[in-house]
Amino acid sequence: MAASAGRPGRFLVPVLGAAILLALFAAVLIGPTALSPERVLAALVGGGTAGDRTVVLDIRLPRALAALLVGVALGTSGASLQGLLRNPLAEPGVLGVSACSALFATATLYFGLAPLGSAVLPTAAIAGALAATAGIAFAASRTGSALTLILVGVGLSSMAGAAMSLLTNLAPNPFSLADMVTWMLGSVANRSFHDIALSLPFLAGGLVLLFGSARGLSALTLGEEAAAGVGLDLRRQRLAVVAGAGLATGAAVALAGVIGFVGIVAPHLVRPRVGHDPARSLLPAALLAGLALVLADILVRVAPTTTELKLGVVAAIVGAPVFIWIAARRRTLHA
Amino acid sequence: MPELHLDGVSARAGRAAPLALRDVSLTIGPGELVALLGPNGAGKTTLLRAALGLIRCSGGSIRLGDRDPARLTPRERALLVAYLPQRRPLGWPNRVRDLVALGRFAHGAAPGRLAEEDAAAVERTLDDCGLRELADRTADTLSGGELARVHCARAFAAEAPMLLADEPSAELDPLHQYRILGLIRRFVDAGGGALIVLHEIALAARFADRIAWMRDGRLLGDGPPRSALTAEALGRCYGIEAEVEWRGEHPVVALGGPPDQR
Repeated sequence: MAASAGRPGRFLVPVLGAAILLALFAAVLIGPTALSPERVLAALVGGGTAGDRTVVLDIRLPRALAALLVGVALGTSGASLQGLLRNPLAEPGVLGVSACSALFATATLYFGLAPLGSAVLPTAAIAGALAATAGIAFAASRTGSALTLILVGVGLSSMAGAAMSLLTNLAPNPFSLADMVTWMLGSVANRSFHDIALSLPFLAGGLVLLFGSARGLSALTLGEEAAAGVGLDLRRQRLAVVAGAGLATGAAVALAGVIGFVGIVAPHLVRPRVGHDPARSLLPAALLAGLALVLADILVRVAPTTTELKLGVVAAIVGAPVFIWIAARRRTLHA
Repeated sequence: MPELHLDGVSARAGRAAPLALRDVSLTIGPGELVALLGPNGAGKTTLLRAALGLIRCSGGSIRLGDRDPARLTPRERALLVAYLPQRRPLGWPNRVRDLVALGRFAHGAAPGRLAEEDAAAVERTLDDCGLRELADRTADTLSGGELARVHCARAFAAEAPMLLADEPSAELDPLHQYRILGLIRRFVDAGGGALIVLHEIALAARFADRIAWMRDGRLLGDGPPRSALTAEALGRCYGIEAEVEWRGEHPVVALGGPPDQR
């Protein structure tokens, strides 16, 4: 059948899936405590010495999985928001969701609420993302314009950024200042399965909403009016994507703080390989973003620096130039 | 086959906007191509959007078959009417076949994931619209005329009984205008009903079964081109002086300026 011949991106998902498995294994293999692959494999299936199991299962594996999940959440959110807003620059960061989420998280640090319980900070991060999401959903229900949504997001982002600067400015002591900065820079160091379990329900809920509404993103390529004409329920589509991206991003920020660019760059790289179809870019973008963060986190751990680099910093240092390169290339294409 | 029936419809383009449609009554049946002509701002687009149920009427009633289009779900509506809006911005440089496949959205299809029936409809439409050679090209490599054909094909792929198109031939050269209208004519000859907003008087006369004149939100009148296309109608509708002479089936229309500028 001609329709299926040469289907673009056929090998993308299997290749990325295999690469993720390899990267995860590398992540549990590599580290300051030298372990042979045999010992790592034994520990992974519950064998080996208690020390091996602690290193592999309690330290390295949850950290690598956290990086993967954060990448998946940000990649899916970015690809979905770009499809919804028909704009390759849309991303949880652009819409202010990450910033609001981080603001709520840092507020718990500033007001000294974080030590009250391990669930306080993640809950605040998710509440912040949902608050931003609700604001955007409200704006989305009142306007038909994607541009207005982006501008609302930019405003929200600036507002949260200013409030966060204010909190760091007024930080009561160097310790809470350091905590807050860590949160803004983004990191998966010392994450446990308990941390992952706290975020996972929100992450899963967000992904269900996003993947469930993916088909509508394809229709939106025609423009909102024509998309409604071919049978898309625009309002429901907007709400699903905004709520889904809010939940997934909130869960990601709860787990790792603010990590930028991966949500813009991963969908960008994937899109030409899936015929520029937003729906088909969702899964590969999620996997690529997850893979990128697992690899970046390995880099962070092996880099010979006196204090460990923050994952968000490395993601930005690698991601920002790639983003600029793509944006510049895009312009010359259209000229 | 459903009939589109507007009865005394009044509507606004926006919540606080003035009435853009005043007491408009019009019926489009199967196998009928109605061209809607009128100056900019006459309410032609608003009429299409009201007929689709995309905006609420403030008066009168609209029936699509035996349903009120404003009460249809987007999917139900898309199965009854294909809609080609005036502005057709593409978000991404998709492949032609994928864009045409979006016409099958209401049938549950998605690009790259087409059921047999949907894939067959897409391939059929690609052939009908002469897009076979372009099927694997991306939209950013197409000319304006080719792109217009892709949008038409997207609308036809839905295989809905009714087509509403807003200036489907805008910004095209005469040959491509003819090709687009030819495609729509073929859809109508196969039993479809079409309401088309046009600015090209000669095209309307050549292809339409009926011409409907619109001005200031009102329908001035409608009828077959032979009786509806007169110098007097052009004057009333556009406010210009004109001469119309029929040579067999084809009208020759000479347009003058507004009466006070001669």
